[in-house]
Amino acid sequence: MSNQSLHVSISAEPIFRIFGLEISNSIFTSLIVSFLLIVFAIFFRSKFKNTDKPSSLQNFVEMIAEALYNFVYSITENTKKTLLFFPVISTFFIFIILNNYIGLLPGVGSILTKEAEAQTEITQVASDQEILEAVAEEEEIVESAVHGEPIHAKMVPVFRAATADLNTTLALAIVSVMLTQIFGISHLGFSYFKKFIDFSNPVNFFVGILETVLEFAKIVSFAFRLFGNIFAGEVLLVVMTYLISIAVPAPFYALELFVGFIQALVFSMLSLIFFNLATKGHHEEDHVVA
Amino acid sequence: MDIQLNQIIFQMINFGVVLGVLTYFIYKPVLKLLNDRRERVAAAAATAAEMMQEKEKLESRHESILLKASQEAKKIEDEARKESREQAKLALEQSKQEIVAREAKFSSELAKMKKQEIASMQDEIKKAALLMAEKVLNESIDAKKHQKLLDEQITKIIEKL
Repeated sequence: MSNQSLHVSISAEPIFRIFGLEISNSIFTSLIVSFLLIVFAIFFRSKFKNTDKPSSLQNFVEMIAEALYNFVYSITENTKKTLLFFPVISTFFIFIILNNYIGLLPGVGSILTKEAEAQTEITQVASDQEILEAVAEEEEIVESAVHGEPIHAKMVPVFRAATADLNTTLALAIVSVMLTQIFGISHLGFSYFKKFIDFSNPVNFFVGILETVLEFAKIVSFAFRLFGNIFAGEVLLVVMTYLISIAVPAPFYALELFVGFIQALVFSMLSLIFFNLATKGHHEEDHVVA
Repeated sequence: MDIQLNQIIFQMINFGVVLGVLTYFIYKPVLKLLNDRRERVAAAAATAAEMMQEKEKLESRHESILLKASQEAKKIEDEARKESREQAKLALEQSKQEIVAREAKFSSELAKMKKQEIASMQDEIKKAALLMAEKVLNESIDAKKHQKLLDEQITKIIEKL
């Protein structure tokens, strides 16, 4: 068993600050993933040729794109809708799966840095007691430094899977639900809102309220499902590695690879189903549910 | 759990940028390529189907030509057989007629020859009988009477023949 203490934090920790924006380790990691994706996209475009004999890289990308296209088409069964939803669903899948898998790389969670200090709220008026406590704390730190004792700053991981941070999963969930509304309105116009506000009879009115609540519940459901699965996986791996670091974590890594794929697929598929349902009329929707 | 609005917005923008870049640099060209390829495959399949139809059409035409040719050949064969049969029949008829004619001719010639032979034999028999009778009787007999008697006897003999 390792002598080092076990580091598990449910929220992402800030590692530095740019223009007042706190950059957490999860945002930093997701920026790396985004950067890699953008570089890959530009590189791919520079090598792309409209040919029937593609290079192995182009062949690989074509294979994935075709698989995702067929996946979207299998749900929509409509070419126009497939072309509309495909970019969003594919990006959801790729972005989530890469962020899930980056959390499994060695060094993620184990390379540490000093935590960025919390920003002082200028507008907040501190009580006298709080000021006295802060002053005493600072005096203690200064005294320790004077006597040659090391100052123990809080150390946090440099990298953390973005999907193991609730802020990222909430952002993705909000994007998904917002796009659902946009697609719904663009296809059905203002009749889309009949789903939420329907005075035709009391039952429909109540169903409308439930539908409204459901839209918010979708955000919570999306966000917590992804966050919960990935964060739990990371904790599991940390604990298993902490307890027995040789061989035993390997099957759990395999399990997390599977979970990472499944969660990306579930998020994409649910988004796709919600997009598709939003673009169908009320009667069509009933038909689909039936 | 630390939910921060600015981080959520930052991640939404981050995702939006990735979506835009991937759409522009990967999805659009790849989807266009796949679509073009799908169209080309569909066009090739349509051409293949057309060619298949053409082939079937040609095959059926070929078969009908073959059928017609075999029917015509059979007809020609039948006609040839019929004609040859008729010719054979005609030749047989002609041969029969020829045989009959030859038989008739031969019979008439034979009868004529027979008649001539009988006539010559009659004269000779008459002379011989007359001589034999003269020798037996040693006297001359009435030539006219004797002639009459001989004619009757010869006539009887010829009738018996």
